[in-house]
Amino acid sequence: MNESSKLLSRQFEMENSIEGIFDFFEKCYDAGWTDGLPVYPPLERAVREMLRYTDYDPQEIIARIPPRNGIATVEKIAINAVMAGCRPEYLPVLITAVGAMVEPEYNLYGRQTTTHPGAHLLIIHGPIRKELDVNCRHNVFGHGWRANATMGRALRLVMINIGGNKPGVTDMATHGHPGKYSYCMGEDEENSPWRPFHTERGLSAETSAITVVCAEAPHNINDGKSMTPERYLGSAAGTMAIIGGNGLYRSGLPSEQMLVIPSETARWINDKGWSKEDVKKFIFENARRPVRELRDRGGWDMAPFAPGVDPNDDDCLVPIVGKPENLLVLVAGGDQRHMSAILTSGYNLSVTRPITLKDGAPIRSVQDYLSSK
Amino acid sequence: MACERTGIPTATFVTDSFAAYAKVLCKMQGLETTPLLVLQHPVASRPESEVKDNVKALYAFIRGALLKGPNE
Repeated sequence: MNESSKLLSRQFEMENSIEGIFDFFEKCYDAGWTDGLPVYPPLERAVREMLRYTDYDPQEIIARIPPRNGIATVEKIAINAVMAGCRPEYLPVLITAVGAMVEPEYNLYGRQTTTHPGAHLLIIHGPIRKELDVNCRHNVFGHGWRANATMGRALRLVMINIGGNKPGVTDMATHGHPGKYSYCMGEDEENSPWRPFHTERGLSAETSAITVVCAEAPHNINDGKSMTPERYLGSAAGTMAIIGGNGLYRSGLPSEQMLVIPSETARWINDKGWSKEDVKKFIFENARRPVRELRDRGGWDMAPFAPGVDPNDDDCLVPIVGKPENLLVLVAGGDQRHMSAILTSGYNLSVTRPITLKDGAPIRSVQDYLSSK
Repeated sequence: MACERTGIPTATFVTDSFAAYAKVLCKMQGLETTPLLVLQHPVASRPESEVKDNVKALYAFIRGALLKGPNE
């Protein structure tokens, strides 16, 4: 960014005092500009500092965010990033993520307005995880890491302030879930026995990237006893093929479901001769319920079943996705054998994008943006 | 809304709990006067016969919605 680039957002004055900051908190909450928590004041100097970490002009349009179709310029994204408490070097992640979320397959309009409890899970891949200190291990979906907490939060503020997401007005989620405050993780690539997730999407392991997936809250799978991968992953399959979940009723749509395995058991499974593809195949074949358990309940008759499922055959086993490739398997988390099922509505697909300079060249470091000026 | 934009007339049912939400979305999408047919919430837990009776009571409005453009 040119240091003298003009910022166009409306400005207002606040008192330069502690009291002024508290007044600012109240003003923002009353105006509907927050997620319910206090936000940092987006001072011009903070926004300009944030904008050092992009080679886009501040007025370049990254996306139009539904349902309001608000224009997400780089400047607006930076403002929301400051409000969320992000460090300036987080901006490239957010610009990439916002651009990814408006891809048609992500179905952002549907996700912003649905009754389903989906939140935008931001997954960080590659070297940038270390550079930004993204948590990939203990408490990976919990609290404590600024990068995870604020980048996920910034996306939510973009959805609110640019997209017009407002609970009970445009966002009719019956319950929602706490991930709507922030939902961000890194994959534990260093401790995984398998290739990183983003390499399955055609990127090199050395490429920093993001994936966005609109997902329910993590559902714990606690199996400390199974001594074979079949039994252990059978616990996962049984959890993922949950009667009240959308997967079983949406398997004929382009849809995905996700499983997060800690490195401890990923390595154990791998040592038993199982690849990630073997895990996906097993889950696909075993995360199933017979038609008789699904008939006339849940999402029955609202979407097609996967090919091969006969809805007139009560014994026919229904999968949670249409093919094994639509199961997303990532390695993350701390010690012990807990897994997490991250289920989706079945009405959207994840999107993976590399973090690049404006010309499309993958970055080696966020410092590339400083040296590009 | 997508159908209306392509010229396919629609009659959109919402329940009263979602009526304000639907109106806001229509306005945001530039289809402010899209006809909305409002039923009492909830629908999913009512007997099918009751839902059918409630819809039948709106036949005249359904006809009007299908014959009316989105911004008329």
